[in-house]
Amino acid sequence: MDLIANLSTGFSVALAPINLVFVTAGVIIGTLIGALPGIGPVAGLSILIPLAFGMDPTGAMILMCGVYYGCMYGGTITSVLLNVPGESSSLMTCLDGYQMAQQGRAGPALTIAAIGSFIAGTFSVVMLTLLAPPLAEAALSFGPPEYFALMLLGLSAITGLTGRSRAKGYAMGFIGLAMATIGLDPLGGVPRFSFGHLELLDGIGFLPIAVGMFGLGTVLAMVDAPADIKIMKTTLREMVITRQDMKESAMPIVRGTIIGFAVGVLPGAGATISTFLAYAAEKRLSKTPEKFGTGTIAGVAAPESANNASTGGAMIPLLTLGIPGSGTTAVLLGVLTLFSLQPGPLLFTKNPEFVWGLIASMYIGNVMLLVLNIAFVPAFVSVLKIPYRILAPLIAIFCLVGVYSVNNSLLDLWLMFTFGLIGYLANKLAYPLAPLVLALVLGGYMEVSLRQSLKMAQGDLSVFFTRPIAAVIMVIAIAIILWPLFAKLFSRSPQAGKLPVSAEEI
Amino acid sequence: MEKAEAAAGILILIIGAVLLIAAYPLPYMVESVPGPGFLPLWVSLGIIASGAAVTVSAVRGRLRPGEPIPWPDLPGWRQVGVMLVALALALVLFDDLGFVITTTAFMTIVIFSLGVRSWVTLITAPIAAAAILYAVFALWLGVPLPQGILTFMG
Repeated sequence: MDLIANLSTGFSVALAPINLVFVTAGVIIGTLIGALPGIGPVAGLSILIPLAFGMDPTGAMILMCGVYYGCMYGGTITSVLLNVPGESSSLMTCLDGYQMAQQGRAGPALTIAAIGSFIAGTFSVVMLTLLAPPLAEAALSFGPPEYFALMLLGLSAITGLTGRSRAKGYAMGFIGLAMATIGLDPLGGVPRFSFGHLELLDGIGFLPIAVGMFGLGTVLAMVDAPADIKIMKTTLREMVITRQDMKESAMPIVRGTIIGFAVGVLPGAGATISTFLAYAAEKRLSKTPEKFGTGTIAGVAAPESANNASTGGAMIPLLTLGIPGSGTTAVLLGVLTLFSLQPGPLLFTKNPEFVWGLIASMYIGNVMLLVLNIAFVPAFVSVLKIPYRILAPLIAIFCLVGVYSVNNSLLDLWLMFTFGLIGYLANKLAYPLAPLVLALVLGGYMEVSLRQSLKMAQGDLSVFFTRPIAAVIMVIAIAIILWPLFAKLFSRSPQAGKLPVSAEEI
Repeated sequence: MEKAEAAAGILILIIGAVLLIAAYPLPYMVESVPGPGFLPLWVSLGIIASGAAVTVSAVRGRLRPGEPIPWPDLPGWRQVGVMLVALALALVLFDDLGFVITTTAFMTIVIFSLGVRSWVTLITAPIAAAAILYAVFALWLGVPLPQGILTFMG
């Protein structure tokens, strides 16, 4: 496949005026969502799903992806200026970023973060451009056993997303699988878990559940405690960075990018973890580790690059293989499914304008974000002044009208409402939502692949291990699933094998 | 003993049990290939097992050592309640009252109960909300929004 030809197709799609509007809107919305504490990318994307539903698929994904990587830029703003992370992947930036702001160096912090984010984001899109086609081509030879193994690999990500209580994470995963099972059995027409209700025969919609759990759930969490953001007066006169700043940030940006990209590609580890690892690596490699936490620019450059690099990385398995590795990419996968666009090798052959248009617009989006985050920070800061008292009900009614607009279905609205409550309670009780979404989105395909594989092999389970690619993927997936057990057996610490995650892991 | 956690665990156990009962009659294997009952059975067993694990941990007080659940305070609960009730009403009345009335009423009631007292805000915010929603859904996406009792306005 000719790379140049693909990219030119892509750019001709991405540069179409309507798609330029979408990418602009997406990155602006993403920056705002990233900056606003209390709403993360998963919530933001979920709230937008009904919009996407009414749009052309290419434009919709350009918008949604713009929101996705835009969030990584936006989170820096409140981290640096207010010591409040806009979302979990900007947590590490608070450590040194806020200190720099206290020293009157908020401007350089934000600028370096923007530059690092741009370099990292663009690098990861370049890697996506280079790695996706060969990977998609290799995946063309995949059959049901390989797909089952891949879905299992995707689901194995759940073990990384469980947070402190593994039992809770698994419970959510299984519940997600159960929800995926509701409706008519795809291979037999037998109703399952419908309890006699006709409306459930088509399964329960991903859209009202996602909007409810993440959108409404977030709204409820917003109103349960007064949380107006106190914007302190900060001067942003100097967004200018010194040569010293650039020298000190260069390698951290490089290292952060590589770490972020690698972590992003892996299922189960998302932007948040990449920032922890990048920060820790910088501190370890630094000649002055004691300065970390007091306002070193490396402490800002590294995590900010990492979280952006992870977005492009996460898009690779999503687009080429259909495996989402985190809650956010699971929502993106859900959206693709709503459009009947099955990600994977067929996406590249059947819908090249869509895929390459999306990839091309990611380059454009990153450029826009670089400009926005250096030149327009005061504008974003002023949006943060909108009190939650107005924002929360606005989002709530937006969700309601959004879900209504899709199907005019009262059932959908009640589903959204119920899952809003469930999402709120789940957050309070520390039940991670990402495993549920992942299982809901992947469960159906996984079951179909399993049954088709065994039908092909006439019940012989070894089919998963005699085909080389399936075997390799199965081994990796099983290793990931069993890893926590090994870690626990060989270590005394009760937290062994558990990665630090927030309730909303991205 | 972490009560709320234990209650949640038991709830999950019960859900698992109900699903197991629903899954039981389905054919498990059909000609040595998993049938429609395969996944439902294992999933319900998984739910039961994890529900049991959570309940046991909660009873032993191991789930959140020393860390209380971040329940909101009483005013917080009231806010959540207002939001839920208002949303439920809006949901039910959306078609009948129409989009304009439901949106503006919802916004006004909720922002008032959340503490906004400025007349200017109480008037402009609902109007702005209705305008934004109209622009996005009716104008841009072309979604027909119910006019409800305002249908005489055409």
